[in-house]
Amino acid sequence: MDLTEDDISARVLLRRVLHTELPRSPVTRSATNVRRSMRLKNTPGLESPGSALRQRLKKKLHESASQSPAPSPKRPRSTGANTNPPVTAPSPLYDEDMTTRGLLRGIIQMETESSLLMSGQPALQESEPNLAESSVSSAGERTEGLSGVELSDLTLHTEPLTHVVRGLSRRKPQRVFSVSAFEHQLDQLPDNTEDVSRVSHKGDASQDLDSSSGSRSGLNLTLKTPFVEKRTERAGLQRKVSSRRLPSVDAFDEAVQRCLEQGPNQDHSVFQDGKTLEDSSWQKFTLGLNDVTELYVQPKKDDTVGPSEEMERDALHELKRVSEVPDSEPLIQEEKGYEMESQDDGEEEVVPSSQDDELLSAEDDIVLAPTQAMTESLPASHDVELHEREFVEEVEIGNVVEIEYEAVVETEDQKVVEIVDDSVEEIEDEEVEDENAEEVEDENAEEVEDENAEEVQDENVEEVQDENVEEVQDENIEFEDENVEEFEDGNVEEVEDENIEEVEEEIAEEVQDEEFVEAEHENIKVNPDSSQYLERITRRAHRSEGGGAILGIPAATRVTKSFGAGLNPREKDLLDLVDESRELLQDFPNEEREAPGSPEFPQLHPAAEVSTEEQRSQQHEASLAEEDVPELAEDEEEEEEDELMDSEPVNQSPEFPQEEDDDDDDDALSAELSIKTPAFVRQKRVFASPTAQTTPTVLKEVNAGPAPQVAKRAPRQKRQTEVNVLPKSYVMSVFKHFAKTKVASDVYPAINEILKKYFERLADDLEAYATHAKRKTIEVEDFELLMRRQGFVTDSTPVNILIEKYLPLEYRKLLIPVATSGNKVIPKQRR
Amino acid sequence: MDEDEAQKQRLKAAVHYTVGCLCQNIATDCEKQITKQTIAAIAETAFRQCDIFAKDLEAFARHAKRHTVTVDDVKLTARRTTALSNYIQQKSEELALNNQELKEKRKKNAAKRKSKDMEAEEENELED
Repeated sequence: MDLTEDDISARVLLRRVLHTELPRSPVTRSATNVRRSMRLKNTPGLESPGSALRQRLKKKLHESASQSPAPSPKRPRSTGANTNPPVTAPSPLYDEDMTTRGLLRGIIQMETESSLLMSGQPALQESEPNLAESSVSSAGERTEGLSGVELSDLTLHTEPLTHVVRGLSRRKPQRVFSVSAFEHQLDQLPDNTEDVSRVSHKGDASQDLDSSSGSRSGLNLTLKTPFVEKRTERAGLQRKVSSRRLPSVDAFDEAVQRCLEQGPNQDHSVFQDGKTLEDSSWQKFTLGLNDVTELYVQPKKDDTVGPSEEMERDALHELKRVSEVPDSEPLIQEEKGYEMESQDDGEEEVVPSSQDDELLSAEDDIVLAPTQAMTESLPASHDVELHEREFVEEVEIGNVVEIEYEAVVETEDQKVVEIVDDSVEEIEDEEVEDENAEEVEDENAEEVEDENAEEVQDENVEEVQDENVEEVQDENIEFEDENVEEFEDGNVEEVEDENIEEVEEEIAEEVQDEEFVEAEHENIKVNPDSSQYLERITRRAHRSEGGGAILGIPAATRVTKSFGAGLNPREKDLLDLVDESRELLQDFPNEEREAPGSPEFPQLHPAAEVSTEEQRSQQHEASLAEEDVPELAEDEEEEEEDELMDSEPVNQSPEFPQEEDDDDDDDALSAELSIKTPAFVRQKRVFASPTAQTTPTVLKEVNAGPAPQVAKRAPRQKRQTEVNVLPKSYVMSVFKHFAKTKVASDVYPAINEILKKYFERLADDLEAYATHAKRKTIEVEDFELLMRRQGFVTDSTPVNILIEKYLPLEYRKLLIPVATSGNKVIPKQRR
Repeated sequence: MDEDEAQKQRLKAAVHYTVGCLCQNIATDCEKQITKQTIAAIAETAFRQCDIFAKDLEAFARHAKRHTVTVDDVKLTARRTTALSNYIQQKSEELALNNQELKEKRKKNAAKRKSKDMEAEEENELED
């Protein structure tokens, strides 16, 4: 006994607790009473059920003791005179039994001899109100069910303890295990978590405690669920990180810092150290001369560096702009613009005001040399870059900035570069807009964008080659109209494709003039050179900045993106950077990322790079936020445009467009995109589209609202296959329960697909019902109609009955005014 | 109840006959034969599907807080089958156009009549 007691500390503790309770509770007197009763007679002088139980327990203990060497001496005692044993032995036994020792002994003996699952713990009802009671009742039954051993008393007594002890003992290890396992799983695949949870769940189940097991399983589930989410996020992020080029990131960071340190004017000089754009034409670009080249240089360096997520965003913006500018010159402008943007991000609020004026002027003089504006914008942009890193303001500003970008783009237009910028910006805008806009809009926008993208691309190709500002402008104007709409919908892609210039122009005109002005200012600041270029740059810069500012991506990152023209590796890097930045900046809204990314991007590389980067960043953003889906499309398109415009080859672009194509219905876009868009971008798009479709239904069923999910479509593409509709353990357990046969784990993917489709269809039906009722919100009656169609609700089984039947009491009370009406039938409770 | 049953039987017979005729046409087109059991199965399925359609239509109309089943309800019922939904969409558009034309005609006629009446009144007044 002593040994046994020492061996199991938990049990001992439990016993002690129980014992202490006994004396305090009414059983206190019973303790003595029991003793007395015991002394008086071992036979079930049922003075009290507790006492009787205790007597029985003692008997069993004695018996078990007799069987074992240690207990042997007790046996004679037990078998001995009732009085004696009860007096002597019982007294110590009582003490023991009543005390932890006795109870433990009983438990240990009983448990070792009998199954642990023996229920029927009597007596300790007071100590364990719920468990004891339930256990007692159950124990009684079970003890009776036990054949050989008369463990009724002991079991009754010990069961609650045992049970409790068992539960505690099991819980602890399980909990620990689950926690540690959870941690491990965080680093590992999700399957591990599932297994762990499953195991723990199983362990719980064996406990025979619905509450405990339920709590445990629930605990497991809860543990698992967040884990899965985290894991997916991490996994996706990790993957993205690995895919990036570390050196590029570092270089980019350095470049960024350098730029920031040296200030706007000096940045250019610093940039020269960095890699130069492949296009010699860039150097020829004389818009801002110093600024331009500097800007140009800077972004290139950034590309290789691989900026953080923020930078990616900026790069995106820049890329957009870069993509717009087919020529090197435009790219340069873009870069500057992006720089400005990046700088402006932080100061978007401030800059916009100043920029508005500039933008307005720029708009007026599309062809005029925005040099002044650009120069002016440069310092502003520089500041913005600093601010860009600040994510707080970016989100808000991003939206505004994006619009501005568009406007700026429009003003600048004509240059393919602008188009590129537009595309980049559009992407950014889309991102921002998506974030702001509702999911529906995003979805619609994407679709629209896709269509537009195709159209745009064709046009862009032409425009890119066309260096006539006027022509481009006209096109842009047309585009802008389209783009404006698109932007609103979040269709950045389309705009980009068609004519960044056009879009820019149109956007500037249509959308908010102020915003455009700002963008223009930014662009202007960035691109001191030729009016056209300047305008475009300013626009782009504005846009990029607007996006970047929101995102707060460091200017450096953005710069890289902008210069991603034709440089697949650079683009990749940029995008990676963007992704990284995104990952890092998960907290930050996508808009923020976009904003910083875009301004930086134009600076860095031509459209190609920008587009790719943007795409990547966009994709990344999408993963982080559902809004990225349209962005990705944009990125893809932008990249393509950039490539078209940029002579630089884009390795990834071909892949990218393919992805887009898959997502986009436009074949034309796909063809172009395939050329330009990187593979990864394409993949992202692919994922994004399916995600978008599924997310709404999934969300509807599982979470609240499809809106958040839709936005995450683009970046989630890669991880789309990994996202499970419901936790695997839960699904498998339910499936096995209803299958009543062995079920292999291989079926889970298929079940997952089915669940996805089912929930999608469910959401679509509900939406159709709501629309049918001329409502914009899905109400309960929509669900009732759905259940009627599914056959759950008929004329004879109204919804209330189903509620009573299947939902817990809390929900019942919530859904039914009178939860305990007498005229309701209580059907058998099914799990 | 018997009347309902008898009515139901008559309806079933009518459906069965129509389905048989359609199947015969298709059989001749495909140069194949269709067994009677097949026709019976198709007829029974069609009959039950009609029942389901009717209940759904009623539910949809009630869901929209209407007392009349309209084309919108029908479209909602057939939205899953793309071919059928497209067909219904076209038909509904045609009907809409026809209705519009009819309305225009009626308006014109009404206008003409009104003008004539006005003229007649004026003449009468003048005469008077």
